[in-house]
Amino acid sequence: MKKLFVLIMLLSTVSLFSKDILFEAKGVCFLPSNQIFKQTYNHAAPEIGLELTGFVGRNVYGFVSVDFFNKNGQTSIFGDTTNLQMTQFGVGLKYFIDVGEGSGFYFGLGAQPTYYSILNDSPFVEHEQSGWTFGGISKFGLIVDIPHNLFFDFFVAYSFVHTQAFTPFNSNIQFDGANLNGTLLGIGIGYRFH
Amino acid sequence: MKKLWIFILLNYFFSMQFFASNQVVDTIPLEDVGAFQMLVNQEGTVGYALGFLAGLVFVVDLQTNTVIQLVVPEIHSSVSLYGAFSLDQTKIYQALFQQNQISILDVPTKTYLDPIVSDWINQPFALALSVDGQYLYVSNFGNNDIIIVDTQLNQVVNRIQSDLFHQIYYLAITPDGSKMYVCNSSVNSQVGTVSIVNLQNNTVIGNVDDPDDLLNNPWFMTITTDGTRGYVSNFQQNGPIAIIDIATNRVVGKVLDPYGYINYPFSISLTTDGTRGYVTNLNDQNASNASTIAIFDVNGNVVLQKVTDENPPTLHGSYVMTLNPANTFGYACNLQDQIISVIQLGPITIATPINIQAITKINQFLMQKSFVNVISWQYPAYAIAPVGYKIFTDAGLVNQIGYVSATTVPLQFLDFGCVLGKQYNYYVVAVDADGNQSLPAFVQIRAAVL
Repeated sequence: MKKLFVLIMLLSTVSLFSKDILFEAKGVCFLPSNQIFKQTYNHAAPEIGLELTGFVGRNVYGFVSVDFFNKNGQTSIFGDTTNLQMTQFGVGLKYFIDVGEGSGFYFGLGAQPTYYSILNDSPFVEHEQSGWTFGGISKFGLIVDIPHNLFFDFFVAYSFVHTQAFTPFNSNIQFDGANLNGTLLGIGIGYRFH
Repeated sequence: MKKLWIFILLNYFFSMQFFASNQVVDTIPLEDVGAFQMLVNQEGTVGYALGFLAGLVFVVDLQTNTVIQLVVPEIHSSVSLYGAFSLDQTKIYQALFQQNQISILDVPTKTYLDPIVSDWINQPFALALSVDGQYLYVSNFGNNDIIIVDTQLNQVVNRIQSDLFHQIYYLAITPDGSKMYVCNSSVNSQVGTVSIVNLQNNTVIGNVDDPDDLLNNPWFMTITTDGTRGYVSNFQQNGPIAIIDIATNRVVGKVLDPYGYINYPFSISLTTDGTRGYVTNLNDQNASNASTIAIFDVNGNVVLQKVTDENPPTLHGSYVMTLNPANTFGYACNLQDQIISVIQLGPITIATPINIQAITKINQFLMQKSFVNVISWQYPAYAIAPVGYKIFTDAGLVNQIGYVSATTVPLQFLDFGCVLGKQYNYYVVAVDADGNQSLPAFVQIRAAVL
């Protein structure tokens, strides 16, 4: 985790001192791929985030991002309420392809350390579960410049995040590893520093 | 203070007696000789238990439930069966099966009179007194016929013969005295039937029409006091108790038995108010299991309850149960254990839940799951509505783990936090507005997710 933090800081510093910097706020629709996730928190959920992208060289940009997810849900059969919060940090590289004046496609890959916190409203399970887990993210997007150094970022991404768990068989609570994977459909608006 | 304690104790005693309805409250031992049937006098104060093996009669004080006198006949019969009072209850007639005689006990003096003997008597079995008390009808097991005894002369004066008769187990006379029904049990290739005798001319009219073949092995019959219906027990697994419409001489149905309490039924006793029927069930052919006394609603023709017995059970080999005239107590003769169980009678309070089931389900959270035993049941629509259900984990109904209101839909109880592989027992009792509880419905489950 320490190395990751160093990497984030490094890429942030590179981005800040690079000749082309993009800073944006994002709105995302998260589409989980896991069935239990869908049954508990619905098939789609909103997410918001910030992202900083900076030129590194040869069409390659580095990015750092942070996204926030907060959703209430219910267990499928018994309707116990539960809340999931995720803070997903992203760090990685994007490769840009210019397709014309002021617009370009990009695709990117990155690491995605995630902090999760779940509150379960049932006396028969553990009330709070939280911790760090590590995942990855792949992105594909289109940047469209608009006047006044502003730009739109239309993107689709896929997030890979898993958690691990183990429980003895004869316990009245069984802990499960969770699959937090999902597709992200998003739009961002930002300011471009040339 | 002392008076207060006495008051509390007396109050407790009487409240316990009040709530002890339809349950065995006492037993009367019969000194190693079982009784087949007990006759109760009109006042309900004295019972006459007819010894099965020696033709003995135990005189029982029904205030104290103790045997106060044993009347021993000069001639011991190895098997003696049904008995009957004379109309004025000064005599008791008893069928001495192997002596081919009808004994007569003079009730006031507790002495035996000369028995009724006749060449026509051959293995006498069931007795029925005519409504006017003038004639005693006795079925002959050996001859497959019925002899008629003049009770003034104590002599056999006639007999009724018919090809329709075979292995007669019981005789029942309608309250108006016009007809007698003859229970012909199934024997060899002959199926069970109920024949009808016109008592005006002592001729056999025919057999009861039985379109659904419910009369598979008739062993006992009783007729409602209004004379509209007859109930016939069929001594077979799951009975049934067939219902005869007396006006049309046709089987019109059977007593519904949602709990499966009817099993090798023997006798049927109806309360005089026509609301309840008590059915003794031997539960197997040889009475090797504990007996059950099922209670059915005569208006709805459905079993709603059974008599609560102690543990260990006292009802064992319960052949004939007799109700006292006030219908406050019933006396079940337990031939197997040579005792009489005294049952305090009362209204049917509340029915046992039916169709109880248990299944383990997962309460799935994103990163953990717990296991829930879901206990579901139903309540018979025809029974008195409960206000709720108590859920217990022990047969003694001590450890209550939940309460479910009767308005809950669906009727179920969720036992959260179960452990996979562990066995769980659940007892669900219905509770009425007065706090009366039904017998428990039981289900067992080993928590498992399929």
